[in-house]
Amino acid sequence: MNKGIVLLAQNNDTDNYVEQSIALAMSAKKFNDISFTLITNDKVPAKYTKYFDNIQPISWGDMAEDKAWKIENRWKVFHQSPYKETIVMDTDMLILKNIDYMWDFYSNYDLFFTTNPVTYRNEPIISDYYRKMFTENNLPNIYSALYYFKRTEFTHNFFSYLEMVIKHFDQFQQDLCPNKKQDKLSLDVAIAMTIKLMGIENQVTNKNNTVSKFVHMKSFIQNWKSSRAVWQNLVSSHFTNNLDLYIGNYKQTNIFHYTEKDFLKNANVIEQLETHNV
Amino acid sequence: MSKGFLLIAQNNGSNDYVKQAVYCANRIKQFCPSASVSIITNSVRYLTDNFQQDIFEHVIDGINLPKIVNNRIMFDGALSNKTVQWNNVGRDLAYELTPYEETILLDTDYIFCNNLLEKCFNSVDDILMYKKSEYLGSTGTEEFDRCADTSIDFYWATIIYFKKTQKAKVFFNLVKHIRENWIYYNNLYQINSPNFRNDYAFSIAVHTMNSMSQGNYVGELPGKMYYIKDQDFLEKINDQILTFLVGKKDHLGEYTILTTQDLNVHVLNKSSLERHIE
Repeated sequence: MNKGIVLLAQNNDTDNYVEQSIALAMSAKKFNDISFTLITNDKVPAKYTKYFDNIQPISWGDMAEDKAWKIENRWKVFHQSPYKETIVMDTDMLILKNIDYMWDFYSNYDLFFTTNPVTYRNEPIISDYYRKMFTENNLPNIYSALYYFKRTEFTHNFFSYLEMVIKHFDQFQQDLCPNKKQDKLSLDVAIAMTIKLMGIENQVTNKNNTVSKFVHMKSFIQNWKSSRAVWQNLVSSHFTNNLDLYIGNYKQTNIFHYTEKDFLKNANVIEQLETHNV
Repeated sequence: MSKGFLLIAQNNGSNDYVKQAVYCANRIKQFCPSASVSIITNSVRYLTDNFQQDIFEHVIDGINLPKIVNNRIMFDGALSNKTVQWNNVGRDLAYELTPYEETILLDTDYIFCNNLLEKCFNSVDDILMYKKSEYLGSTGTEEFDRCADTSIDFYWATIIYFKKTQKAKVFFNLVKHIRENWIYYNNLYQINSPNFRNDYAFSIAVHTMNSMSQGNYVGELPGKMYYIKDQDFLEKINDQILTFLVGKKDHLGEYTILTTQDLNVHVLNKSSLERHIE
């Protein structure tokens, strides 16, 4: 297969990542003829398997079995992707546009990480509220919620290093993050450390990029003067009859990273998509 | 193609907008000698009895303009305020009432000190407004970045350039619709303003015509909207040199003197303005 999107979903006691993956694939199908691969050890309801071209279990055992925040397997997407060119996404996202042009942009890179997500008002995110680790340790400000890779020797090397960093996260933090440390394993930080370790920031990011971006809905980075922890308490969200998503009366025409897991239920996302025969 | 400036003066018993309009028209003529100026007013008799009316090419009777009177606290410096009646409704009717093919609609409390706005005539855009603004005082201008913290971008209705085109007609009709349904739109956009305000209604219209997103349905007027608040004072007018007393941040009732030259300024302290145009 040539191109596709890979999702890795591991349910925990509180969150159903498989359900999020289903919503993501369904949203994408409205605008795209695109292949999805879901890597999961959890059950996918039969009526939703049609949204995935491949469903495969996590290879080489579950390294996050005893963890609530399951990051430990994320390096495996490189090895499990059936595609020559792969976009990897967090599951708590929706694709609200055709993304063909993004593939064209990505074709210039072996590996590409987004560094400049936007608010729901399509403005650059200014605050580093959630990114003190990156600021204080001068780490590349990458977001693992949306990235791309080709199957090359370069990317193979990268994911080999990433595997090592994930498996020895605390030790790498000692060396690469002297000013502030992360309590638990973070994929963003692990990837940022790997990029720094390999000295490849300019090869895998582009500060002027306006193509590979997504709306990041964490509450404290929306350029609001007064904020609260839950963005859904501050702005309205609704789907129109045409399945257009509006947040605070701004039409969302991007990739939408809702971050608050109950958004799926609060906005009846899957039901809305099903009603419209997506 | 006819071109001109259009002022709306609706006296309310507290402020003499006709007097302001006459002064504003004279300033326009001073800096744009070939400009045509017209007025819409509910006080035609008062105008003709008390002022040099030949400054206006057209005097348009606005007696039938909608009369929805808002109560508003208006300051005259930081330590003095009063509740005044304020009739700001009907600005959306300027499209129908203007005698010009190209119109610059502006508030009467705008002091001309240059001919910058005249350069808007023959614009390629059908509608131009100010989005950027700068408070001349010591505090920030962020209060006019948005209609509210979580709401849409703020556009000033103080000055609007428009052509007699279908696009502008639709735009003004939309503003009228928003005014007629103000309670609904006020809530929908989380503006929470007790009174109808033209800036908000025009901002909502711009947002709507931009397909509920950022966009360029409306072009930007040249430069910025410079203004002082009603807590500040206009101290002196000496041709194109204006002197203000602007409130010191965190020092209520204390002021800093400030002088501008060749800069058009929107004076929100209308009482202060009227004292200088006797």
